[in-house]
Amino acid sequence: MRSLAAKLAGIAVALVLSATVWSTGTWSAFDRTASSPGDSVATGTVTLSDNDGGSPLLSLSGARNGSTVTSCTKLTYGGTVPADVRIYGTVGGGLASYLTLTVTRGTISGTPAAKSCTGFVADSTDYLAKGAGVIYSGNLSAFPTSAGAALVDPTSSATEQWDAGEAHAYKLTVTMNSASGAGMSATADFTWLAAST
Amino acid sequence: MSRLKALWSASPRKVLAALLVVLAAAGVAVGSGANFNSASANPSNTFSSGTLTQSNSKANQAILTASNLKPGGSSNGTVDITNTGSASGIFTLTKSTPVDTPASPALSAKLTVVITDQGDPACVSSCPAPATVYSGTLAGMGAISLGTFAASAKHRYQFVVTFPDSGTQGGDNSYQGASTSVDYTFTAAS
Repeated sequence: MRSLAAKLAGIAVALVLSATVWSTGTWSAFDRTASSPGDSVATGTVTLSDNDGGSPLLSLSGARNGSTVTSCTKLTYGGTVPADVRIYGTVGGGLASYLTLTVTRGTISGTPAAKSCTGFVADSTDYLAKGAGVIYSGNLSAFPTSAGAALVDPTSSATEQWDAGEAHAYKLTVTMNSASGAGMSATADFTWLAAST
Repeated sequence: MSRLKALWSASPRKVLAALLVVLAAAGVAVGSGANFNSASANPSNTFSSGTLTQSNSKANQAILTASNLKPGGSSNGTVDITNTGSASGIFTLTKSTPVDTPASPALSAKLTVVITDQGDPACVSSCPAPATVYSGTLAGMGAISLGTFAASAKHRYQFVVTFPDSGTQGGDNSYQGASTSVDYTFTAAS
C-alpha cells in the first residue's frame, strides 16, 4: 500500500506534467504516430575579432598639454546569432585624470592596417550630441571599467544587434588636457565584448 | 504516457526526484542569464607625460649692466636658456616696464636692443646661423616667441644695448645722467 503522501505527490506530479504539456501546446509531439526523423539541435556562435591582433592601440610618451594620439581598430562579428557589443577598459595611473578620451564609431572599408585610421568615416549619427559618431568623450579615468558598467554600442538607448559579417571601426583619440599632469603616467586596456542577445 | 505510468507505479519517488532534477535544471538555465560571448581586447595602451623645467645661466641676475654710456656706446651680455625638462616646450621672452630716471625723456625709449639667438654654445658642426629675435628700442619690445625647445635644448641669447648717437653736437644732452632698468623673463609652456 502506498502511503497517502505518496498518492498526493503522484497527483501533484500529474498536475504539473499536465500543465506543462498544455501550456506549451506541444501535446501532439507525444503522439505515437508522429514521425520526425533527422531532428538535430546545434548551438550558435558568438565571435568578435579585430584587425590588430589584440595589440596596444595607443602610445604617448613625453606628452605635454595638448599632446594627442589617435588610433583606429576595426571589429568584425563572425557569430551566427545576434549579439550586443559593449566596451569597457581597465585604467590606471594618475595621468588618466588629465587625459581626454574620445571614441568615435564609424567604418573603414576593406582590411585596414593595424591602428590605421586611413579611410575612417564616422557614423553620421550624433549619438551623444558631441559630434558625429562619438560614443564616448570624457576623462580616460572615467571610462567604464567593468562589463557591467560598459558602454553599450552605440548607445544604451539605441543598442544595435550585430549580425554575422557586420563590422564597425572605432577611432580612439587621447589628448592631454592639462599641464597639471606633467611627470605622470597611465595605462589602459580596452575590451569590446560581444554577447548573444 | 503508459511508460511514464508504469514507472510511476513502480517507483513514484524516483519519478518525482527525476522531475525535480529536470525542473531545477530548467530553472538554472533560465535564471542565470547565460549567453555566449566573445571579447576582443587591446591591452597595454600606455601614456606618459613629460616635465617642463628650464635653467637660466643668469637666474636672478642681470644679463648686462652698463654704466657711463655715451652716445654711440654699447654694452652686451649673454644668457643661456636650457630646457631641462623631458618634454618640449614653447619658450617666450618678455620684459617688465622699464623704470626710467628721469621719467622723461625716457632713456629706455632712446636705447636700442638687439637680441640674437646664437644657438647651442656647445655646437661644433652644422650649427644654425645666429638669428635676431628682436631689434628695436628697449621700451618697445613686446612678448617674443622664441620657438619650441626640445628636451635638453640650450640656446644662448646675446643682448646688445646701444646708445644711438643723434649726430648733432649736444643733441643727446637731455640723457646725461639718465638711467633705466628692466627685467627680462623667459617662460616655458607646454
